[in-house]
Amino acid sequence: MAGNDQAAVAFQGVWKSFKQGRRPIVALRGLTLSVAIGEIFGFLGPNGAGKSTAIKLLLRFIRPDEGAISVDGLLLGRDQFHHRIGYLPEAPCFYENLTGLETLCFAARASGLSRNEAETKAWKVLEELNLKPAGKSQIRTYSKGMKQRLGICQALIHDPGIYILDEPMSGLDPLGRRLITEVILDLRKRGKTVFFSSHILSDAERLCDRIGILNKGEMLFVGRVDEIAPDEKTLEDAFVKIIETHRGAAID
Amino acid sequence: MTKTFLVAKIAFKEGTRNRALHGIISLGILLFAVNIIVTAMFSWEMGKVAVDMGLSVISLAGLIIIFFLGINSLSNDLERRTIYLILSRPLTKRHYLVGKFFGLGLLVITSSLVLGVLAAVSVKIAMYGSESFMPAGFSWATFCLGIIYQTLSLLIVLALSVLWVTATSHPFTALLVSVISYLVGQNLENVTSIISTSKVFAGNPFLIKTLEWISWIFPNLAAFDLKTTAAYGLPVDAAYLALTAAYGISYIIVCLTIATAIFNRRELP
Repeated sequence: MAGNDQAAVAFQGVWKSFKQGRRPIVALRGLTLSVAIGEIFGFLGPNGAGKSTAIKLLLRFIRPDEGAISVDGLLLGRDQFHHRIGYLPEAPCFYENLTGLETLCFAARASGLSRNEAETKAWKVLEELNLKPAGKSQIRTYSKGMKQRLGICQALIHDPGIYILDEPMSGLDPLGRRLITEVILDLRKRGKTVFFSSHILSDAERLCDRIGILNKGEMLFVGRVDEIAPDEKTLEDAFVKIIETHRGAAID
Repeated sequence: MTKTFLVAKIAFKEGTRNRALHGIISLGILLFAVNIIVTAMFSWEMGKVAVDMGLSVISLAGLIIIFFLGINSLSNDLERRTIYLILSRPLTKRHYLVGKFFGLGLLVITSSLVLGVLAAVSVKIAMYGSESFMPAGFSWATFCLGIIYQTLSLLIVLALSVLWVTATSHPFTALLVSVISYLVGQNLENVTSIISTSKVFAGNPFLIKTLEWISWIFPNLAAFDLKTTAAYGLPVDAAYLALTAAYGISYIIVCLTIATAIFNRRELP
């Protein structure tokens, strides 16, 4: 992992395959990527590109076949690293009979905060994400957007240095999206690292310092938004061109 | 231990607010009413019937909690990925599994406690005016021991269910194997006993010894059944109780250790 010691997140030659029946399906092909500390990095790609697989590897829910992954200089599989990250899963699922406050207090306590600290911080993040009035209601009464915001709350509660957000804008109305955008911009101001996957290219264009485009497990581009394809008018045009070129090359 | 406790706490809270649990407890209460009516229909061994039915209702409620609420809770965590919110924290899979076991176990203990009190009340009501039908040696202490050992056997079934959820890929398979384990554990001792007294197998001590060993490996849930002892007011052997409790606790520890080892190897895609 030499050279990645200063990276907030680093993938080094990561391969991952799954078995579908007897046939192995390769989800990631030698993924190499480095996200700097304090950077907002957008991880883009069509459905089935391998974005969620990469994020699950990063959280250690699954293990790579080959390669190494590090978070804040800590090698996954060897070092404890979960206290350094805040994670939002795609379409987060909660214990529906617990209240939002109880869920956040659990998340905070599990991350090492004291009981008093946990409750104070829980109310603070609930207020930041406009969920304070629903704090003592059971999650079963929350709308999809409220659950998504609660997911953001539990990622923020222990104030980690690195945020891994899987489709953070999914299921949100325009107001909710604006709220999350403000949260991410605030994290940037505070020098935090954000690694997020998204289908919404306009969000990536607006928020990211750099983006990475993944297709069929291969990283096709990593760089600033303005570097991707200077001839194309929008990020969407550039994105489509890159993916189609890759598909054409794969068929050839 | 604090991290395990945190998981146990949310598992217990989530369980206590589950409508299914309220339904199970209500069913238990209904069965106690039935107990009173059924006991009144007997003109002999009324005490035995009342105590036996009371303890059986506690066991039935506990089993429904384990098979439907417990296995469902663990499987849902895996299927709906609720587990991601736990394992993305500095918590290990061992914290999760042991915490879940304690949380669900506390739910079973609470159910046994509540239904135990109601069972005692139902026995009291059923036997009101017919105290002479109570067995001579009956004591409430033995009745309580019956509840405690029944609860311990339920905790063994819960630990086995946790093991099967981690070892199988589908909740229905876990449920099926757990129910089979329970049925075998409950009846294997009787089968062994029948075989060992049968003339056909009298010349085969190896088979009888093997069956005896298997009945303890499976586990031997019949050893925890003190219904007859409580119902007839039979004397209780302290050494037997201590050994059985030690066996039960060891069995739970072994199950959770194997479950953790399997779960540590399992990926959560």
